[in-house]
Amino acid sequence: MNLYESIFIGRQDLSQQQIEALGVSLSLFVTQHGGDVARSEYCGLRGLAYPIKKNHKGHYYVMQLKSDVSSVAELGRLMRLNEDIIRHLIVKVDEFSDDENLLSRAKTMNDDIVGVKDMGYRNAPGPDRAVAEGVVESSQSVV
Amino acid sequence: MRNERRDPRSNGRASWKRANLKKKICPFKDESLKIDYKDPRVLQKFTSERGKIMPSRISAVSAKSQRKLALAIKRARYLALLPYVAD
Repeated sequence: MNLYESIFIGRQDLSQQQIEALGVSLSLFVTQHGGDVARSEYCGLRGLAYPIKKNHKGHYYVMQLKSDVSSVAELGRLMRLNEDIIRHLIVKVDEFSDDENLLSRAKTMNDDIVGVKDMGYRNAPGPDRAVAEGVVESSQSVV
Repeated sequence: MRNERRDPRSNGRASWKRANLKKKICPFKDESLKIDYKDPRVLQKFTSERGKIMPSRISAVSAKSQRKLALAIKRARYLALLPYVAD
């Protein structure tokens, strides 16, 4: 048994309910194969940094699971076959992060990531931006 | 002095170029900043405007952290959290 973090991106034209149902069915698959889903979270419809299969947005869904190798491989296969999932990643981790939100912390910068035109924000770090980011000083000097 | 790093090529004399350098510490040294592929906010600080990974000689990230950072950025790119190319 290993700890894994699985994250998939659902097609943009699906509803949140459909994605959550998909997440539940995948969680069910894991538990049925002797695994355990520690946490799963719908992380919202986010803009993608680049289009994937003509999707410019995607529903992100993160799962933290405990499972053995063979059923994780099968889970990956299921995700690959599912046409509603445009991208997925399964990573083996040493320990689960206990952050409040797995992904939604960065949700507010959606537009920043998405729009190519908006990429200029790095040139002009406004005061509001610095505050909003809430990242420690040590990194500020870096960039 | 800790900050006066001597250039091994300069016959033991500290060159002023080197001596003026302030020793930079790795931003990931303390636990305040974590490397996580799911956190594009932190990761994008270590990429250039073009979306390239910043060299550690500029960002002062330690070699150990730089390896983890590079992996995290590549994962974030795969998940479309960060761009491969930004222009």
